[in-house]
Amino acid sequence: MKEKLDDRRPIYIQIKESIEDSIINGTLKVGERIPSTNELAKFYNINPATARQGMNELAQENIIEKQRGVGMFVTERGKDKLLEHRKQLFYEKYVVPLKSEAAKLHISDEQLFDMLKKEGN
Amino acid sequence: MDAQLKGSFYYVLTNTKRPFTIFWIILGGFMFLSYGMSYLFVGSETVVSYDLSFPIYIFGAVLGFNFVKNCIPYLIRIGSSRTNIFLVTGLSLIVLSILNGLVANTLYGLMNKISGEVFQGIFTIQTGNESYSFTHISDLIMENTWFNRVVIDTSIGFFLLASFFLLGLIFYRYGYIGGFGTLGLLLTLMVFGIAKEWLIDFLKYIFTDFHFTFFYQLFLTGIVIYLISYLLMRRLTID
Amino acid sequence: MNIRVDKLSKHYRQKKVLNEVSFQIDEPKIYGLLGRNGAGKTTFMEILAGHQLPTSGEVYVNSEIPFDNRSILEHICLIKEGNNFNRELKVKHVLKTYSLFYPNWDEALANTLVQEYKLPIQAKVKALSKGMESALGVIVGLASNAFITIFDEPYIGLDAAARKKFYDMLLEQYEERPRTIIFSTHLIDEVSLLFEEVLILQNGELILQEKAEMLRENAYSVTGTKEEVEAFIQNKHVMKTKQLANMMTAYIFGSQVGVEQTDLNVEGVPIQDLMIYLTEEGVEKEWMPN
Repeated sequence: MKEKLDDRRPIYIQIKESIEDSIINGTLKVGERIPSTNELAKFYNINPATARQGMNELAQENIIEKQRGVGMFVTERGKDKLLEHRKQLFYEKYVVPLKSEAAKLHISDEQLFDMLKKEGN
Repeated sequence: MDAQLKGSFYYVLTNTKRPFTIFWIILGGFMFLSYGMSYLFVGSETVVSYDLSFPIYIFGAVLGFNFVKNCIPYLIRIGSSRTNIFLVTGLSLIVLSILNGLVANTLYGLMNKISGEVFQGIFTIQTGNESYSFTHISDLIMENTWFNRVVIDTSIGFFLLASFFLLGLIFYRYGYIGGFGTLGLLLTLMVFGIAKEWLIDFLKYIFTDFHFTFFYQLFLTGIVIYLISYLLMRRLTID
Repeated sequence: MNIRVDKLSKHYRQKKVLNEVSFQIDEPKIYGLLGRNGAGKTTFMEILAGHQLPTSGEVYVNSEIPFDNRSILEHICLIKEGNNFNRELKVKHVLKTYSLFYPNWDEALANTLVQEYKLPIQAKVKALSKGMESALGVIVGLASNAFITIFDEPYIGLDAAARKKFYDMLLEQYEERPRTIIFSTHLIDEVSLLFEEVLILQNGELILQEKAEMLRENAYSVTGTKEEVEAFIQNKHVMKTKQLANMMTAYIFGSQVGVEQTDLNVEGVPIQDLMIYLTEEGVEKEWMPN
């Protein structure tokens, strides 16, 4: 979870990302309750409405589900969906530019593969 | 009672408590001091006493004038309606003038009883056989009873409270120009009155063909003056 | 409670402090009222709270005019920068007076806050330090529970910790009981995360009324070579540009679509900076939503 949010990007997006990150790296386990909007608002000192918006979007995308009267929970299906989505983003954000940069520098696919297998990371 | 009225009263009471207490402690203190001194130093030959009426007139004037700045902006800020303020202020001024009259004359009567002598008027200095006294208005006119004096002090006190309150309002709303302008106007009227002699006739009437009802009329005049102040309060804003 | 401002104007001699301002506020939210010194914020808030009268135009709260209107005013609480209280009064009397004037007064909250801020309730207001006096103002504003609570830079003298306490309390109270809170501040960075909607006044006119999230999404800067930047900003609403050698930064208000295709470095613009850029003299404003 992020320590602090900033004013430069929509807060609801930052909340979404923060929860998504927590789900992916296992901080929030499947079946666990997600902090309520009020808890989030208090922690980050933000307007609860923005926290709510982030949560609602996640619920709409079926990444988390609402249990009436209890709260929002992480679902197995949601976690899988998230991973898929993130993998796709990974491809678009990192792999595509990587390949394009490699092409610029005339690095062949084998050389690229060797680089990937190199120790030290 | 309506919570707002209660709140306004509470505020006015809390605000006025201090000047009221301090005034009476100081005045009472000086009075006892002067009685005490006269006994200590000269025996029963020279006696000084004084009536407390005059100071309370001054007290009324000062308090009335300052009432505007002390109470009104705060009450407006906190959301009281101007009608509410008007009612509460009016009642408070009446109560204040009655209280002042009662305390002054009760203290005076008490001192009379304690010291055994009968002191006349506003102040009296007796040295041996001679006495110099400046008498209370009631002595000029009729019996010097406790009730009469209370009525007189209350009516004059209220008249002054209301008039100076109105003056304070004028200063608050129209600044120095309005305030001093009004005073100048009054002065001019007075001068004209003297010149045209009807002011002198009026004063003559008061002191010769006189009835006690004058003081009730004075009290009513005070109320009329206070009602005029409502016009100034209606659209009053705070700076 | 809904607030409707209709061509509100206020003149002081020759100066136009407010110039035909019109807008509407319908829902209980935390509103940020921003603008430079002299923009007209304080005057507007005073008119809303019934302390002043407009020269022309009106403010309507639930379709009524707040001036001298008890049923409306007992739901509006304005806490200003200073001079909120009669200085001769003791703190406990101030609190008692307010409790009688505001029907929803929260006594428990007032007591809690008095202890938190270590306010000496027996002391007279004039004996308090500036910070303590501001703390009292903040306490009163929060405990009043008024449907429309207005804070006009209420933190003179409050140190950073005390301010933080205030913001925390404000948020907590707001969550428990949503109400309309109008917050005017110069320390925008401290509270900008709390705003749901932002209004910006400049020279007596309203130049912006937008949801805060929308502003966070649509205010950004691009940095790159002069050519790249100039190419990108062709049809954009540019608030300001800065240049150093061949590098240029442009501050843009609008959608970020298309910026990923470029090599430009993109950064969000915080609301405080946004306010500064938008209220600079000479900035083109025809394109703005208001």
